[in-house]
Amino acid sequence: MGYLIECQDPRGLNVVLVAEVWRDKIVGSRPRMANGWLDRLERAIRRPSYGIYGSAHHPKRACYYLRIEGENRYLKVVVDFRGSRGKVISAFPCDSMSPGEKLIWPESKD
Amino acid sequence: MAGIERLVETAKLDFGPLERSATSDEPVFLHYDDGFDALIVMSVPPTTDTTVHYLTDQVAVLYDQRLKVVGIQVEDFVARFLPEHKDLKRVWDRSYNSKDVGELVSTADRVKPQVAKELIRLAEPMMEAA
Repeated sequence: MGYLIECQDPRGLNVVLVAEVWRDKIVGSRPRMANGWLDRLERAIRRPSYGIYGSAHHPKRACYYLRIEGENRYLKVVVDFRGSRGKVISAFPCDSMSPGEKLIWPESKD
Repeated sequence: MAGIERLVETAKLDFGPLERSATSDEPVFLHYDDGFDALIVMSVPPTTDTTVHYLTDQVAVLYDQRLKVVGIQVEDFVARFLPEHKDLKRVWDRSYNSKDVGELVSTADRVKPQVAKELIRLAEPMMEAA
């Protein structure tokens, strides 16, 4: 099982993107994301535009939003954590956060 | 920052294309992601560039670059949405089995259009209320 991305989020937690998840789940449902979105996905995790958000119904999930330059939308990346290690489970363009999500880590100031 | 700004207001979206697909016999596209537990139904090919627009914490619509709503995304689909919608659950259980969950398919050949139509029917009040 290969990783396309291994990086740390602003909290110092390790996050990976498994190749099969990218191919079968993310690009599988949205083929246009094959072009240029992998780099955005990593940037969303390393340096989310607006901090990190927690899911109301999934306490082990974290959501990262990256504002897409030149477009009226964000990239949302959903990560499922087990301990200090997280796996990306979904990513897609959106124009808002999901109602009920709460800020769990503040926006970077530097 | 308490939240993330909504970049496109719901009132700007054209729900007509999705509502029409509920009464049409045109094929629709379904994708169920078992890892994220999300069902995506689209009335256009999945190669279309779409953006997710949340209506509730579970239900979102997908719109294209002309702000035309062409799909629905339901999160926590099996865990929360289906148990709350018994009619849809019956259709879903008839339409799917474990071996084809996760496929991206044209639904013209199976009973899957019923899933899409039932889902759109359920989502219509949310679209009207939004």
